[in-house]
Amino acid sequence: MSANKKKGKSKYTRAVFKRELPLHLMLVPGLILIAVFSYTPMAGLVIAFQNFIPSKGMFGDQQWVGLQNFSYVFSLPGFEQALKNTIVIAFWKILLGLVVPIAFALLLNEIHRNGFKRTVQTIVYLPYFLSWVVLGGIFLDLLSPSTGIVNQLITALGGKNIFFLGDNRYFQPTLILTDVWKNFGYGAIVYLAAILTIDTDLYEAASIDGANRWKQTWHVTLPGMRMIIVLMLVLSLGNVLNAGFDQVFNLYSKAVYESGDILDTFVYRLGLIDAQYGPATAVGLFKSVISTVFISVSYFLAYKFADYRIF
Amino acid sequence: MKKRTLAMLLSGVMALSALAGCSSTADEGTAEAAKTGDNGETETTQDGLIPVTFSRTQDSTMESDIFAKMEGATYDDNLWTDLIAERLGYDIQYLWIASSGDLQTQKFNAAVAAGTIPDIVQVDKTTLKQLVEADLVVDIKPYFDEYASDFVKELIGSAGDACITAATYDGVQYGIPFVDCDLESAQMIWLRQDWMDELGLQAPKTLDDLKEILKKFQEHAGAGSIGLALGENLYGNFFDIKGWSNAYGAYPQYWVDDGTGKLVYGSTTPEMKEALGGLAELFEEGLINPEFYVNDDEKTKEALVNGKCGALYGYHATALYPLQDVIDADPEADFRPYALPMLNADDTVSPGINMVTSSWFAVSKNCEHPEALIELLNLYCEKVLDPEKNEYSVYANPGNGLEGVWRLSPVTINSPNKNQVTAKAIAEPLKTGDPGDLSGEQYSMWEYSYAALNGDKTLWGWNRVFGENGSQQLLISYQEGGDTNLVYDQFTGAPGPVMSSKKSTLDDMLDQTFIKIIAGQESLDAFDTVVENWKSAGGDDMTAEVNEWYASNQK
Repeated sequence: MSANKKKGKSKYTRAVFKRELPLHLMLVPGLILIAVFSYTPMAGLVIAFQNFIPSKGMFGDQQWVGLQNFSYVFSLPGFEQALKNTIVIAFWKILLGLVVPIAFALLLNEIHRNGFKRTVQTIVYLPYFLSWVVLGGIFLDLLSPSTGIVNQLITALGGKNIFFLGDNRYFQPTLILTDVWKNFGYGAIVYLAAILTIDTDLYEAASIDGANRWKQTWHVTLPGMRMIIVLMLVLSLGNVLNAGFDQVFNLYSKAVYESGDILDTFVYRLGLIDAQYGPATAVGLFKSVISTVFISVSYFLAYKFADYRIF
Repeated sequence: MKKRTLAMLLSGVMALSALAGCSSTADEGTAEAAKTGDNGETETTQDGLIPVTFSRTQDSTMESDIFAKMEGATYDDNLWTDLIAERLGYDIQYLWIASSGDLQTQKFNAAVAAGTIPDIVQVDKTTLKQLVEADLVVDIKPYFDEYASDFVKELIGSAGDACITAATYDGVQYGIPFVDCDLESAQMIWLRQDWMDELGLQAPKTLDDLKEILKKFQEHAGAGSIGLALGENLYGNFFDIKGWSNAYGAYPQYWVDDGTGKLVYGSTTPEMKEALGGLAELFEEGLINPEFYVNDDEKTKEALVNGKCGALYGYHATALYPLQDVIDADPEADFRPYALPMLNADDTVSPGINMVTSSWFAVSKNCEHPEALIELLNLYCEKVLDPEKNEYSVYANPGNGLEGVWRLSPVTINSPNKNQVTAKAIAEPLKTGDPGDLSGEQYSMWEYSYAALNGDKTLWGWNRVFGENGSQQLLISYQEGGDTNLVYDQFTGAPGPVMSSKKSTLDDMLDQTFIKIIAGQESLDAFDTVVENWKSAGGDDMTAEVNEWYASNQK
């Protein structure tokens, strides 16, 4: 790398600079966006260490309280439960959010009728575009124990009514499955695209070697998708403390706080309903720090085991 | 290539400057307002008037409703400011006119921080506390006693003591309440009257009577019906459990005197446990929607609209929403409010009520004439509210498309019991069909209710609020009937540090268990456990804080 750099530097002439200038300029809008919406607001993190009173102004004469906001939040009843729920829900969402679209992409890849393939692809991709506000209302109806179609099906088959959104035993699985259902179409498209980039000669060679469909998938397709799988995993690990505010907020109720309250909804109630900006920011900072650790570790692992790197 | 880039750049700049042009014209309005404020530093204006400063939020409807129709009228020069100048000798000036509520809050907070608030302000309870702590406002009581007209004294007195106590710190009253009607926070039970008539049922006196009615209703409405409508918001204005709890002498979320001069949180009393036990029984008997705790108001309303439910607890305006929607869907339907049924037949009807006044007027220490506030209130009442002297058609609602002129007055106030007064005033005219000399709002309410009586079902709700057998008549009987005991939420102060940081988390804790108890997921004894947890998680601290306030305000 360093050798490369040196070499590059020596060759970096005015002509090269001029040629590449438009490319660099294309980066500018993105950089501005990140600077304005991601970096500038970071200045607000100081609130996490203050007894923040909005009327004194963002950078006014606020009282510094050290780590008091953190210890206050960690001691609140309900925080521990929210943290636990967040991790469990996020873990399953990440895992199933990886496995399901890959499996689906592999299956869809075996279909050779293009029209059918495209139709299926479009249909499973559609829910990705629906907001949870809309889906929340739909699921409330679909999953209702008295009138919902799902429960009517269950009772018709001789089962007992299940209150998916009101029973702590079922609420988490319901969250995870509906989330996977909503998003797997998007993942499947990414993986399908990855499969298309695999050299068809490899399949030919494999079948000459006597590999059946299954062996071809295992030894050619999956290794060929390795890079994109690792990339998706690295990106999703940053979400280990994001269990999906939109979804939970639109589906939960007080009765299922025990299994469904997550850090984001907890912060929402603390910060926006109670106007306790200091503690709410403290939780936000806490989340960011944990996420940074996870992203760094997963990036390191990806580099180590899959030889994948962005920088 | 280069020329095209240049052209694009130039057009871009022009577009931007056009935008900038727009915003700068918009800015001029506020700049001007600020300027007049600055000039107002002088003792008197050239006309010899005494300047009094205010701030206000722009109201977009005023542009279209008033300024467009009154030539030359602006916020600081109109018939109200003329009247005030002529009668009281004050020059009304706005330090700023904010374009939105958010901006108003921001500017106001900045003014508090800088200690330069307007002479007369209208603020909520928390802000008033801040102003008192920052020593920015005056003791208003002496001015009120000396200057207030009898009408104003009576009007504010009729709202009760709670809203005065709320503005009193260490025995000094800093705020004049923008009074609102506490009585209207009382709950009642709304029952499907056409079913009552059909089934020959009587008004419920006890919860057992109510349960009987719920069962009969459920039979009548057929499969899939619900007895009592409950929603996810246990303490909302309707679909709530407050009315039911009141029957047991339980007042959830209220601070009530425990008989020893100490306040306790109503959600944690033994009576509350009994009330929850009663609800759990209703649930077990299938009289409550098993999904109630995930249903918002709209969702809960569906059963009523579909004719699958005919009973709900609600406040006085329940007729307008959600019940008007039921009537719109089924014009044959009819609901009527009844007094809260109690646990035993000989119990006094005891609905809980709380202070609903949400803002107070206060006067800055820098104001040289604090009596201006009182004089302005006197004048407003005289011109708009006083039935004997008012010039309603000049200063309030001139009519002919010109409505809401009263909003031009820098201070306004409502009569807290105006709805009850209206209900009484229109009772006779509704029977005769002759509005007589009703005017203003009273006339409108008569008009709506009379139309509803004569078959206009889209106005049904108005008649059920103001008409015979309506909710206002019921409230009047609550207040004047003599056999009713209104139970006040005793805490009216601004929330202290423990309450503002912990109350909602603590409430969540209780509610989670309450819902599970009602839904039969936990036994009734879970109540004792959660109350213990509530106490140790901060409930005891909050109770101590509230009692400290209570003790200091009892003197």
